Amino acid sequence: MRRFTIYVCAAVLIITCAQRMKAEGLHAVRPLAGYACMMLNLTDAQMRDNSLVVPVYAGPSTASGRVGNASAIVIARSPLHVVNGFAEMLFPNGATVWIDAKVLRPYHSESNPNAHCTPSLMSNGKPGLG
Amino acid sequence: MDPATEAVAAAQDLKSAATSLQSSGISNPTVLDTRGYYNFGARYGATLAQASDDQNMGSLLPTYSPSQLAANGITPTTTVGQWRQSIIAKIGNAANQPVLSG
Repeated sequence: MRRFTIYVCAAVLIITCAQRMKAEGLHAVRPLAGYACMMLNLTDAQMRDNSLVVPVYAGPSTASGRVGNASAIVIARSPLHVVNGFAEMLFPNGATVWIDAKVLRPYHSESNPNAHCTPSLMSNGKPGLG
Repeated sequence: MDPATEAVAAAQDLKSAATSLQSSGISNPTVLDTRGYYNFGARYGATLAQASDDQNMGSLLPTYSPSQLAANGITPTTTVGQWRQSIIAKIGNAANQPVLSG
């Protein structure tokens, strides 16, 4: 009987942990107005090449300072806001950053032509892809 | 390679992946996020880390063909949540732990 009780407690604990892990998943809270998903204008091989980086800057010039690298899909201001050849976008940490406008192209999925991508405020309070 | 050296190398790999994700704007990368980095590369790893659970993998890996997705054990309609759960099932609670601290 004691062993059975231990098994039941263990099962309850496992189920509770599993539900908690599932509940912690990231989800979209609301769409971000004024933004659209765009993707880097790279081939599939280039997209997966870690040695090739696409920089993003603090302002619309390289002199403004590089703040990081772009991911495959970016959240761009819509309509596109281009200054000095750089397009305004939202970084995943919430900062407004700028990227060479020539490296962007409209969002399109190879495997699913009906795919959608909605820039969203996420459940962690950061911008994300819903 | 002996187990201790392997463990040190794995820890270094995890740190490298998390640092790369941070440079792509992912503030506090988790072990799960680094798995996306290893499976799909730095650019797509960062994309997956900021995606909603109900998004489809085919939507988030837009240059992947259906056969490339299949080679990774997923379909265009596999959701990010399903993919995350498959990783959590393999590595357990550690999946949601942040890799970098302080």
